[in-house]
Amino acid sequence: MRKLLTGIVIAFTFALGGCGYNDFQQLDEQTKADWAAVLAQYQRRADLVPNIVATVKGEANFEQETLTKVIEARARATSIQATPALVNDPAAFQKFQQAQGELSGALSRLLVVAENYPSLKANQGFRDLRTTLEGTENRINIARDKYIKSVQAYNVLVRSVPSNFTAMMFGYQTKASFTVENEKAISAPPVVNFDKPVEKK
Amino acid sequence: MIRLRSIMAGVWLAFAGACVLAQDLVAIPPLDSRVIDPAVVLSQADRQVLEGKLAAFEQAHGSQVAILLVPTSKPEPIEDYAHRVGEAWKIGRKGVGDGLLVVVARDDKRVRIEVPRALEGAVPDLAAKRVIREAMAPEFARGNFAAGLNAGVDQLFRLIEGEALPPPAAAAGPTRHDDNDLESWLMLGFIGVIVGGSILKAIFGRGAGSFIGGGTVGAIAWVVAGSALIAGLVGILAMFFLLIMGGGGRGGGFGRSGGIFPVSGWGAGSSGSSGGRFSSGGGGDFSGGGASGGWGDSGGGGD
Repeated sequence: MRKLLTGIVIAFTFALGGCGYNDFQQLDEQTKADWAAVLAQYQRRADLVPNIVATVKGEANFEQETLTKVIEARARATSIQATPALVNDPAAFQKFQQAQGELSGALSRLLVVAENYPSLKANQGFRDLRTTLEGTENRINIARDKYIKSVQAYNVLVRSVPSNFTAMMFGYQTKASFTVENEKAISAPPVVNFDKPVEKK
Repeated sequence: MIRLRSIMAGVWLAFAGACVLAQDLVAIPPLDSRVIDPAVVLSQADRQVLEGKLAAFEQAHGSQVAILLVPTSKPEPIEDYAHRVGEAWKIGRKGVGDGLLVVVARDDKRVRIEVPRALEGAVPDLAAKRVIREAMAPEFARGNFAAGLNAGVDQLFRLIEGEALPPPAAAAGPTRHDDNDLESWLMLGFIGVIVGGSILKAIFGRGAGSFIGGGTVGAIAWVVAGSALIAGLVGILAMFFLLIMGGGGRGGGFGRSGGIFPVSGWGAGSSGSSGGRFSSGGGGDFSGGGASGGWGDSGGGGD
């Protein structure tokens, strides 16, 4: 009897291993690590924004509207509690992504506008901040790509046979991932306008 | 069967080819020297000077620095392309990850210094940007790519030298496998002995099968370790193990006899030969560090 029980336990363990239980654990940890990396980079950007705003404020008559938008977007982005649990809640994830996307948009708008202020462009502090921001955006991209890949691996495991039975048994759900942010804006062709001269003397 | 498989491989290749065409990304050239120049920007002499410089630096400090000059990185931005190249080449020592990559896209007038995680302290984004702005961009704008690269690489060397990295392993002789590798080798060997042994025993019976298995293991150990003594010991050990293991005449139904030769790919650095064949150390963990800049006609190195 005891032998039988041991056999069943061993068989069960192997069956679990065969049905990807261990893979789930490994990929789950991987997505968590990658998600943490994404959050760290977003945080880095959020920390950078006050410095950029302060530097730009020093520039006389800088477009107030652009600046306000950056400040507001940052406030919105940082108001969302970015926890590891976020990836299991598609709606909250969507909101998080949208807020970060808005901050990206506001910041790139700020950089475009800054082109019109020669003294700002020559300001060493601003140039350094700009380089740091570029580096951070690049890191965000790469961290996001990595996260998308690991979530993909995890979700495939959740949904394919036979590991989906393991997922059902333990209640593993697919995780939310990044999507293209502004689908409509991308599908619309960009409008090039040569009416206004860019130079502002 | 073989026919079917080759047809499937062909179909797969065709699909893969279609995918590549559809995306139309710039291909990553194979890494066979420290300076790779498919755009043919540098003269032969300039290339050799640069390669010698990079080789000498690796010998002295251990860090691998590679330069890639392409005509264009489009449709990708140079940041994405450089990251892809870095991930594919994995330059830098394994376990240290201190390989630095410089990518120049001639026609796009963009250059990027891709810094691995291990060197982000030594070469922060701002420093990389400064190297581009002050050393590279002005020379590139005048068309002096060799001069710009030489000056830029010199500055990068100075930055990397400041970082406390492990000393180069050249003096102690190249260590081929680290612990992790050895462990996985042993594990694979162990599994190989069990699986292969069961099959041999199923075919030849207990005694002869164990003997043949032990002999095979010994022969493999001889090839791998290069010592007859070790080979003999390992072989005898394997033979006794197979004898004791039980399950004499009837082996398991499954079998994967070969598969105990994982080709471990990279040798750890090629510190010995300067300017000769170059292989990646298999390190490089790039997470987007570094900086990029242009030398367009507008505004010098501002961007």
